[in-house]
Order: sequence, then C-alpha cells, then structure tokens
Amino acid sequence: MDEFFDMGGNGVFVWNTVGLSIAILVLNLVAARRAFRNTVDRLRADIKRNTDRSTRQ
Amino acid sequence: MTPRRRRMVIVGAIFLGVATAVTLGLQGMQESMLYFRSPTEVLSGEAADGRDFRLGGMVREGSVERLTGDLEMSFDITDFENSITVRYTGITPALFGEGQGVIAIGRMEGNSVFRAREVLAKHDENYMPVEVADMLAQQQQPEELSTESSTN
Amino acid sequence: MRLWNWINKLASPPHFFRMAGTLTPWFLWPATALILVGAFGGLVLAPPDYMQGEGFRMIYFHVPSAYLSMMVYVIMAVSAAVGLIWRIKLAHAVAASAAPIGASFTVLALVTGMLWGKPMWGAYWVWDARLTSELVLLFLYIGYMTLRSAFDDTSKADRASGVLAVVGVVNIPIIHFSVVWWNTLHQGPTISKMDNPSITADMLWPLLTMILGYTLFFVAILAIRVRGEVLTREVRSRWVGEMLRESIDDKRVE
Repeated sequence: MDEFFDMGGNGVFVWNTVGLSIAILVLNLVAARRAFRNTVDRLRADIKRNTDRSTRQ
Repeated sequence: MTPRRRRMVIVGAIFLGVATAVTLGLQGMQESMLYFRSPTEVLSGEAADGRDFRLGGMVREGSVERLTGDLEMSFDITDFENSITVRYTGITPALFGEGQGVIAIGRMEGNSVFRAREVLAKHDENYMPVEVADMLAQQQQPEELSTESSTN
Repeated sequence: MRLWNWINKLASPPHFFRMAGTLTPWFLWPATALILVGAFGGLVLAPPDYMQGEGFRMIYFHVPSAYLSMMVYVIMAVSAAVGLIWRIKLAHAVAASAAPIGASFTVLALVTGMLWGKPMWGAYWVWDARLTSELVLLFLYIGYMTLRSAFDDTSKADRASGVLAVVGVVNIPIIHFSVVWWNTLHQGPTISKMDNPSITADMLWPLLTMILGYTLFFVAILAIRVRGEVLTREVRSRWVGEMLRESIDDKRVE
C-alpha cells in the first residue's frame, strides 16, 4: 500500500495532480449549480417585487 | 445580399484576416519559436557567441563521465551528425541518461565545449510497459547483429 | 427544411430549458462513473511506463484536461460564430456559459503539466511553444470573460466577445501542432495519430475512458450553466415569468 502511495518516489506530484483534478471537477459542478440557483432566486425576487408593487397600486 | 449573408462574410473576413496575420507573424518569428538548437546548427555558427542558448539532442551513448566524484560531469549532445561536449555541475533530472533526449541551457566555452547551467530531460511520446520495451529491444538487437554480420 | 425546423425547435429557449434539465443527470452520472473507472484503471491497473515508471500516471489527469481546454474553446468559438451570423440567442448563451468552464480546465492543464514537468523534465515551466500557446489560451478565456463583463447590454457583449472568441480560435491549431512545427521540450502527440497510437492498449483504455468521462462531465456542467443564462436572457418572456411564478413556493425549478 505504501508503495502505491509512493508512486516510485513521485507520490507528491501524482497525488497533487489527482487531488487538484478532482477539486476542479467538483468545483465546476458546485459553481454551475450555485450560479443557476442564484439566477432563479434573483429573478424570483424581481417578479415578487413587481407583483407586490402592482397589487398595492 | 441578405443581412445574414453579409454577417457571414464579415465574420469570415475578420477571421481570415487575423489568421493570415498570425500565420505571417509566426513565419517571421520562426527562429524564436524554436526552443533549442541542434549541435549541427550551433557548429555552423547559427547560435550567437557568448550568449546563453539552449542546446538540444540526444545524450551520446558511452559519453557520460562523472569528472571529480562530486557533481561535475560531462557528456556529448548529438544529433547523429555532429556532437558537442557539455560540462555541467549539478543534479540531473530522473530521465537523464545515455541515448535519451536532453536540453542543456548555457553558453559555449571556446569552440567545442558547452558550459550548461541547467539540464532538462526531454522524453518522447511513447508509453509502454517494461516487458514490451524489453521485447522491442530484443527484436532490434538481432537485426543489428545481422546487419553487422552482413557488412563484415 | 425539416432540418431547419428541427434546429429552430431545439434552439427555442423554453424547449432547450426543459430538455437540458432532463438530460443533465443522464450526462452527469455516466461521466462520474467513467471518470472513476478511468482513474482506477490509470492509477492501479495500468502497468508502469518503461521510462517514467509510476510517475507517468499523471497522463490520465493531464491529457483529459488539456484536451478539454481546447475542445471547449472550439465549442465556444463555433457557438459565437453561429450566434453572430444567424442571430441565435441560445448560441450566444452557450458561448458565454462555456468560457468559465474552459478557463478552469486550462488552469488545470497548466498546473498538472507543471506537476508532471518537474519530476520528468527537471523544470516546472519552460517557455517552449506548447506551454506558451496553452498559456495564451488561458488569456483568451480571461479576455473573453472580461470583455463580456465590460458591457451592461447583453447583445452588445455577445457581439463584441463573439468576435474575440472567433478570432482566438487560430490559437487552437497552434497549440496542437506546436510540438510538430517547432522543436519543443514538450513531446509530440501520442493518441491523435489514430492509426498507430504510441501507447500500448493496457495503458490507452483508461486514458480514453477519462477523456470520454471529462467530455460528458463538461456537457452536464455546460447544460446547467446555459439554463441559468437562458433564464436571465428570457426573463421578460411569458414562459419564464409563468414558470417562476408557478413555482414561487417550491424550492426547485425543474
């Protein structure tokens, strides 16, 4: 097992590569979902504000 | 001409214009796009004297010598036509070895010796397991032997 | 003409919004599975390389990200060109959504390349034609996004940034052929020579699996981003207003 993590002495480089790659993939998914959520929330708030204003009039 | 047709022509023209400019620019910079010089180019006087440049090629088989026991070493870089002796003090990368691609950064010392301050290993695009590499080497050796014996 | 009708239907924002929402998980889960299988194959099953030993396994992460960094740019540039010429708003939405994803994979390609370069070449970075042109690609993505953000008006941003995207695509063949046209420290192409890839089958399959996995993952991420982009752009249209109002109490918009 130690041998596997050592990667022939290049463990630091190999595992940093693996870790960074997974991090970028996950971050891409999280950022895209968050951007979508934020858009929906923002537009919904706009619509709500507009309907509130029109019902008050 | 329909508006769509016109937009197509405009986008196409902008693209072609930039592509042409970049192509011409790169043609003009051909020299500086090259990362390293071969020994033949250097010996024919293409590299400026007394200035740093990168010398690239193969480490000639049997030419690596560790000089004074510590980190001082010398080896020949060859392009199979000409070779230049390189002197270097320091640690070489893991892939450095005889018959391997190498790039040395430094300058000429006199006419025939290159003093390197940095040595980089250049690997090729082939990937294979050790067994396959051994097999290829075995296949090649008998061929070499047979050509040698036929010339003898 | 049936093809044209089909394209128009596909490019209609409400249809695209619904379809992309349905298809996203169908890309995301296979992508995750492929990446896990490819990573296991690359890190565990593939034999060590005769020259680079275990360190060569970085190829399974570096090559897919480098491939995507260029692929995404081509998709962005083609979408921008379609948007400019046919005035299809959805195409501009695709181009705008692709940019941050492409930029992130360009950064990943550069960083994983540096991590591979240090132990094998002996340097994190050199200014050879391959590395330099890939860095230029990152600047093109950043320039595209900066240019967009400089406009308040979306259609003006689409037009200006679209021209930049189309023009910048000349860098893609430069990146790909840099290792052939000029001498570089970076080695030549391994798998794009389809007839005879310079890698044995037991090392190649995890790499192809990873590339396919990354591609499907990108499609899923792009779909999510384009949906948000479409909502913003179509906010004044009836379907968006109705949908958002109907689901105003829901947590999710499907």
